[in-house]
Amino acid sequence: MKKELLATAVALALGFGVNAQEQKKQPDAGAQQANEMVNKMKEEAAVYYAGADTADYGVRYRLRYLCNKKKNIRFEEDRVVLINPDVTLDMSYQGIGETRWRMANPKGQGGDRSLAYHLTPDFYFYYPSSGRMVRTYRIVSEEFLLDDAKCENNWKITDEEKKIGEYNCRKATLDRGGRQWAAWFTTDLPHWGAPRTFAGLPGVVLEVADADREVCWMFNGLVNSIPDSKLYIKMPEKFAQASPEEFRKILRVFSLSDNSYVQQSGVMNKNSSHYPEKYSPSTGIDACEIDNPIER
Amino acid sequence: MNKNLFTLPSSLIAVVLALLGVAPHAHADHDALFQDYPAKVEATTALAREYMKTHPGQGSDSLRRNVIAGLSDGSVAPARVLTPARKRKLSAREVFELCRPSSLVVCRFEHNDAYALDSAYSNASAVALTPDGICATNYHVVADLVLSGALGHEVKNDLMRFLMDHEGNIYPFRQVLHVDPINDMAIIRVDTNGRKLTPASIGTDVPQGTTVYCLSHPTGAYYHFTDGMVSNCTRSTNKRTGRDKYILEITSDYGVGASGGPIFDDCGNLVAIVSSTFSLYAQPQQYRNFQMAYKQTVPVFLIRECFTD
Repeated sequence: MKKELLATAVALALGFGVNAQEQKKQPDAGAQQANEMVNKMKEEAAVYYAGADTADYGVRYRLRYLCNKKKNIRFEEDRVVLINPDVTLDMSYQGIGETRWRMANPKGQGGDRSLAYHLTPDFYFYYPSSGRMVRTYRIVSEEFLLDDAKCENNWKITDEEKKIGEYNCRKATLDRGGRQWAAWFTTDLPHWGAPRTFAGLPGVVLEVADADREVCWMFNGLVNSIPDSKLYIKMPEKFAQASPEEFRKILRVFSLSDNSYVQQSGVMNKNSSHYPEKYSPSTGIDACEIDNPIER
Repeated sequence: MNKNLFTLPSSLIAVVLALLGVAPHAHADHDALFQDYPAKVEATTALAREYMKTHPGQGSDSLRRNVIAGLSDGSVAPARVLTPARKRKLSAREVFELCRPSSLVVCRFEHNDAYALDSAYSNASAVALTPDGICATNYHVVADLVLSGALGHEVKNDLMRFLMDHEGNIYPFRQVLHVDPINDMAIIRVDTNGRKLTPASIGTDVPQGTTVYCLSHPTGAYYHFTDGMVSNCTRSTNKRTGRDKYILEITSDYGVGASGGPIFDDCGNLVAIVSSTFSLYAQPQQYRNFQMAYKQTVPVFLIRECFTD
């Protein structure tokens, strides 16, 4: 009996010893695991973005949108338009913003409080030389092609001028989709660029709003490419097959489903080695009940 | 279709039992009352296997491939297909007897790589709405099917989903007709293979204080029948999305596995389906000092709205 007790005591002591050692090692192991994950993501990004265009710079906007008039719900999202001479891309800024905040705050808890943390994974590619506009949408890891057509906006450029930040801007107006739009564009910045489908002005649009100020993109600074967070402009190489009607239904189920359902469904693991970023649309505008569409 | 695909004939069962050396036991007279539901669930493995043989290509993968095409935003069927509400008050015992055939067990038929074996198990509950196979359950019961199917993903080892009734008959999933992820409700269609389901009569809104009964299948306790009352009727609007969520809280007890199970009033009308529980702790950060659990259900008007003429 005594022998058994002694053996148990020794085993327990050894056990505690091992546990204590493991606990001492844990912080290093955690840091190592985090580093491995970051490196893996970098490798995946390198594969995914191989040969992709990069932007000369980006223009950040804060989108403010009264999406539900009856319930007085305003949607806000940080957007960015990435610009180079050949192509521009309007997309959510959340992914870039988060990456850069993590780089600046490697041990920081939480996230960038200046971000709205609403992400709509819609993408607007615009080719200024041809006027071609391509709209795509990413649901988790699948890309959908929504539209590929010429963007023709009948802008009327006025003589009205104002300064936004340090940039001299001129006003232009447009009647489209049941709203009277006013855009302020500048030629102080290189190339052309505009949010969403408001392309066609000879400069970079820094502000767009409708006459009722229900929908507006407000200038929120410039973003530059940096080695660890390059501003890539990549048109997806392949798209999931879905009719507009099917896409609408797919978007609905993903927008309304709780993130836990999406994770449990296993779809987040698919293609994990090919996509550096996985987006869920449920935090974006498509999760909202809209009674005041942007295009009426 | 072969009717025997769904239930093994009793003569065959008797032969099998005889071969296994299982003789009728001493308390056989009480067997009608004391049901061996786990054995019925176990027996569904053979039925599911047989169904897969006779209906190749109609398992979970086929369901996934067609899930988006089958989803309806509007009406899934005319309102007249629903059974009107009953008006006569019943005893608890009568409610149970009347409603038991309408309460169904949701099962999954899966392949297990480790044992190189296919087997069926139960994981949730559902309720029959029409005789020809339209049923209601929770969105979270079918969410994995819908989401992976929407993106065209196949899921290894997920062979088939089906419902089981109180007699052990199985009804394979055919289509997901409608989903409401916000309110955790889904309408599905199953293959009745010529049988008729016993639909629940559809009730109306029930205020706080109304007597209700839950007839669901919490893990290991099939056809578990509990009583209680409507303790709260709440509506909340998500401040970010503007979407409304309706919850009917009840005091009838249920737990894991009851998801999608029917809640009846004292006339035997369907007034809600189980959704979730919310546990209240005095020290919620530590999950310590448990105080009470809210039983949250989906009010029946959300189901009724899916049926319009």
